[in-house]
Amino acid sequence: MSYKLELRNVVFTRFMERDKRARFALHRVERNVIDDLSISIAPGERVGLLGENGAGKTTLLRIMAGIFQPDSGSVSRVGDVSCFLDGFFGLDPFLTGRENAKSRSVMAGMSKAECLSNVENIEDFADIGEYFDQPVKSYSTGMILRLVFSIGTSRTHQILLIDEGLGTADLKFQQKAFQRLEEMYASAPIIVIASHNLDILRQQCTRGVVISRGRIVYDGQIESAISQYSSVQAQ
Amino acid sequence: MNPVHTQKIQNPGRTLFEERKIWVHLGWRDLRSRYSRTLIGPWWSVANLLTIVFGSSLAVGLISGNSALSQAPRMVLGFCLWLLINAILNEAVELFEAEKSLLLNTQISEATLVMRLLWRNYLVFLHSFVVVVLTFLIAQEPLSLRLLALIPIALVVCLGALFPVYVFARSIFVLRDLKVLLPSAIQLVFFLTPILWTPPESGPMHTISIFNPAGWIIEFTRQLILEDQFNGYLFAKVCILAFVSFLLMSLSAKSMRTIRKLL
Repeated sequence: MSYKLELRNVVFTRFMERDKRARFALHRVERNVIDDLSISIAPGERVGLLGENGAGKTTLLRIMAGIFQPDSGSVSRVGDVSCFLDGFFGLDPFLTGRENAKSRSVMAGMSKAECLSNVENIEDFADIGEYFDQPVKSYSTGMILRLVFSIGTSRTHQILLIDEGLGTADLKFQQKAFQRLEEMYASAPIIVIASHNLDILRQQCTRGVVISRGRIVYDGQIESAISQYSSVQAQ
Repeated sequence: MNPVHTQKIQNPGRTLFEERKIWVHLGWRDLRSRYSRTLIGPWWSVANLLTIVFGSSLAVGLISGNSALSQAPRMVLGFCLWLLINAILNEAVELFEAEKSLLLNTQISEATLVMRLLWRNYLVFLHSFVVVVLTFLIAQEPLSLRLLALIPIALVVCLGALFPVYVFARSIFVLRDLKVLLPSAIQLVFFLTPILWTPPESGPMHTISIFNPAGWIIEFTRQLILEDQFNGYLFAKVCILAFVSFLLMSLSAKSMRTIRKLL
């Protein structure tokens, strides 16, 4: 199967408030967050996204995941997508880890039996003990990350999109997570990681893409991309 | 595996069917979550409706000089449907804001969230059925199978609410003040809906009841259940309203795509 992720001339705008009186939609202006961006990711590529805050990395990941629809241009995706985009991952803080895991399994289209076994897998991997049956609002940031990562990687996906991934996890879980990513890499040929943690990008990625103001300013080997990004940051 | 092209606009009707397992699960989960740490669980809403019905029946009975019990069956039918409409519209105001995290992290469609809201309120409505039966027994009103008509009637209410829910949920992104104004407007509609009063044959309140969709459904239900009278005109108006609501919801597919931009 030839999995792929391709964006062609994608433009995505967001509404910005023109001034403090912006009570009406009429007072808002649109700004291109992603500006005529094209990228094609072939199977086997692990892409690291670099860019300063507000460059458009998370928005780009959301477009890749199909969460945001571009205003113009096209997105072509072949393969199941899994993404971790913000700390809370859409979890319901008032529900337990188990209930959240079950909901996400249902949302992934699993049958009742599949849901049960998937929740067990998530519980095993997250390894948060009795907290799995406590409301998520009582979790520490690291525990939320454990749960989020376990839910997101509990089944095979061909496209994995990670934003600022594993920085808050403890070392033991980071190693476990990287091991799972390695295992997934065999079946998930496309991985895109947006991060400011250059070590993680060096470790996990083969290709680097530097974004600035919604445009790609560099696309090449990860080491070169990191150098490019570091030199821009140093200025 | 076929490529997914994101520029294709999904028809909400189709999405609702394809994602039915999701909204059924999420709506049910919401209900369990709502009652998870309460002592009497869903009986809270039963007790709540029972108190409102008998309190209002007593007040209306005292004002009109009639027996409170004779008012109760009319009141319970009016209130159980009004509470459904009221809960749907009030929850709609903050629907997309409350589900921001889910919308920004998953591909769940906006239409599915609308259905989730309707489904959980429909489930809450089903609790009201116990109150209706209890009220009829207390008021010594004969129980009949016609009472079961409430179940499909509430479904029609939910279908008719599809588009208003979407409009309410979206409107606060256009004008933030609506977040405060809409609940007050809903409260005002309560007084303009024939729940505590009977529509007169003429005059301004008669005109208001002609243009009040909540009034149509309540009057239709009362006539059907209490008077064994099928009002075809009201029924047609309600069905047309539900159909138009569904149609408008489908037509707003393109506009729905922009909601995530506003979060």
